[in-house]
Amino acid sequence: MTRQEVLIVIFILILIVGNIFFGGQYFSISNKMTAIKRSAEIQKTNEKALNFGKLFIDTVLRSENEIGFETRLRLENAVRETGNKEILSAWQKFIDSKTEVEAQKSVKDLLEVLIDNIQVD
Amino acid sequence: MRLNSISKFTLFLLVIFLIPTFFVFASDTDGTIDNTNKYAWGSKIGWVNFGNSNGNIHITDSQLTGYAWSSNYGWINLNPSQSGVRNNNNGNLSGNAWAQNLGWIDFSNVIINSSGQFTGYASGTVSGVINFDCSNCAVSTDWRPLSARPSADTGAGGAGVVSSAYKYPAPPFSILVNNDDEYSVSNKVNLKLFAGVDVEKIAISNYLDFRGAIQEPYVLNKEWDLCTGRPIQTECPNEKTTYSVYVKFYTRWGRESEVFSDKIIFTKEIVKKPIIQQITEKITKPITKKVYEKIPEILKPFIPEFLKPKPPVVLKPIEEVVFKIAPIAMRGRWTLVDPKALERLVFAPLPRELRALTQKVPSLYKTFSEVGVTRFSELEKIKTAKLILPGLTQNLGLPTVRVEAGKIAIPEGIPVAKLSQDLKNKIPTEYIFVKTGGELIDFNTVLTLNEKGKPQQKIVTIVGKPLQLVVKPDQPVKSVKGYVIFKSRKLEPVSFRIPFKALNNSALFANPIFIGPFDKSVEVEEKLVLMEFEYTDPDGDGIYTAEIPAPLVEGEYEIITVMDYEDPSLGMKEIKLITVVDPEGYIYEKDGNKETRIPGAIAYIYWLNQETKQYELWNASNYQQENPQTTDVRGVYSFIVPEGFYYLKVEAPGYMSYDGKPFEVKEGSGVHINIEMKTKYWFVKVVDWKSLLLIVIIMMLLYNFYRDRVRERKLINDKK
Repeated sequence: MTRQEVLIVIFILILIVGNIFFGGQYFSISNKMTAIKRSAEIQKTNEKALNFGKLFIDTVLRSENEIGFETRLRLENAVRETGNKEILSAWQKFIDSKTEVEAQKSVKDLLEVLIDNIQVD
Repeated sequence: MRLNSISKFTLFLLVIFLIPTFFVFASDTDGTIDNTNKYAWGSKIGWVNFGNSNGNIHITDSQLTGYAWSSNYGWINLNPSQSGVRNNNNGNLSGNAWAQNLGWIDFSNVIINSSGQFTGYASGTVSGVINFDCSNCAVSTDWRPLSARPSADTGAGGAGVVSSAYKYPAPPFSILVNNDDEYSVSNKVNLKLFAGVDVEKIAISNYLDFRGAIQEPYVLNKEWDLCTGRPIQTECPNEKTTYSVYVKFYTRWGRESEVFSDKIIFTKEIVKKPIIQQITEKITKPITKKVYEKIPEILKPFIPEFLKPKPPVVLKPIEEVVFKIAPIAMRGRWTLVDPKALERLVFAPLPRELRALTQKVPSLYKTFSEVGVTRFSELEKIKTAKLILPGLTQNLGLPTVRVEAGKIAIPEGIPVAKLSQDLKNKIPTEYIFVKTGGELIDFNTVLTLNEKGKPQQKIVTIVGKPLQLVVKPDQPVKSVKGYVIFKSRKLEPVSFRIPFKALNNSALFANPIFIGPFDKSVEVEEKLVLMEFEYTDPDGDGIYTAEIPAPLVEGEYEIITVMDYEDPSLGMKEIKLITVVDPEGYIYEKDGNKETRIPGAIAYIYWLNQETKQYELWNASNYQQENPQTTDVRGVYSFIVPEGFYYLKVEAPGYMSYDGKPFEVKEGSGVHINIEMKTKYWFVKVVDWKSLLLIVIIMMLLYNFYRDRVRERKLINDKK
């Protein structure tokens, strides 16, 4: 093996080791990144669900009058922002309530779904 | 001559009254957006263009129509089917615009002023605030509020001309020649003319300048000759020539629209592609496309579930869901939640145990009163606060600083046995006090709430240190037993935390923890019990005490005190005390990433004498401890000291002396800082004998090379 060949082999080995090292680093960092993204996602979801929950309690549960068009639009936008199927379905169930008992049950279900979908810690 | 003067005067009057009406306020009842001032600024969505030529925004006395353009979010419809931006004819806007990507945008805070300038802001949940009159943005129109217009509408100066006379014809407009075909084999074509409801007349021409065109009644379909009006000498129709047809639309008052046009190419024969080619195209195109399209479908079964994208939540357009009329559940007719329950949530008193605690600990009662925590819902106010409950001595209002003749001594507690009967009577019942150092050091406990919203006391100590527990039952007891239970190795930060779920569960009334019955049952899982001990009352004063060593492994423990009452109706009652056991501090030497414990090191603790303002060696013997402490093979040391200012000093043979920075101890707690010692001969470690030897060899080699060189030069010089 000539000197030049030895140098090439060493160079290739350095490249391979470098690739393995940086690949490992990349993998480790991407794992951390995924965890951080997930945590941020949870935080966003929580915030949206909380916003809707607060709006629902303030404008619907505490109201004694008919809910105005603008408020209903705000509620609809807020519930859509959560992007959560369960919350949307519970909300739709409440909107579609035909009797007082049905509405009371769907309110309870909606609040329950909201709390279940808020992840603590 | 006189007649001429009268004519001139009449003409003058006409110019004065009619010119402003037709020119200055030409479109003040049906305005468009100014070409320069057309941008509003949205805090979240950036620039919004109200004057985009394709948006075709019109402002009338009753509404705004057309579309605004957001480069980031697309079109904003000002007149969606379920709402729309309304105008009260004086420029006060109301109602909502709709954008697919932004939802509803409320325009009720926007006003068009008398100069046609948009002022105020529109807002939406997603879009945020859209400003119309910020420093770099402006939107203006030639529409004017009714009150700002000259009296044309009211008939005062407009000679009875109605306001609609000034309106331009309303869109949509379009013209299609032969249904928008590309070619025509004849110069006779069919025109399809689309226009709004207020269009009554049209003018059609083969020329853009409408030469020779006349206004005629508006019709939807019209036969048209592409050669009409063209000079006779010009060959028409000419093969492969493109012909345009122009149209203008008019209202009954003669207001005209812009010019619209369509094109068609005249040809004698439309070249059709050979049938075989058409069939080939029909066959090859779909096949190629289908194979390409099928690739994802073929691969679909092989893609693992977790890699497959989640199907998006498909929602109906908001205008199809939210109607002007509220759904029955939102009309305020029904009681959705029991008002009493809602009231209970808001006005529910503090949890029973917390109320009892405020009665037993006056300082806690004072804190709650001053902060305004009297109800369950108000606990939120102090959820991030760290509440410290005072030790026994402080709780009884006794001075913690011993005053002797002419000097102030270190703060210390008072042993229970030394308390007078009067003070003993004042000790709060069913409350655990913890002491150490021969009962001279009081542990201040931290108040926390558990997951069920019940208050818990928490103390922090050090492994193996003795703990003296004091409890006073409120009724005669048969016995008082204690259990030390292991909870977890994980040491959680001490803070006052109200679990969010606990509060919200209460909102649901699914788990009404604050109105539930008091649980009298006492269950201790035997398998978790590390130690069982009994409290004693040797002097029969009704105060039970016990002394136990703190567990030898760091972690979180629970000391449960169970009082078995003589009165069978009272049964048993338990008091829980969370005990966080911290490890002892150790003295070490760092060697790379490793830590080597140093045996035989002497650790001193000094306290600040407030009287002399000097640090003095802390008198540990009074507190059943040693000072200084000599470390064993584990290199550990620890002190439990009363509150005050302290600093640590460590000496070890072969190491530089360590003098720590002063620190404050606010509650009776452990001093267990890990201390790194530096060796006196640190440079020996930096350069070891191998490195030294290598350096020496290199130096010798270099010297050898130098000597060779000198010798060679000398030889050369000698030869010369």
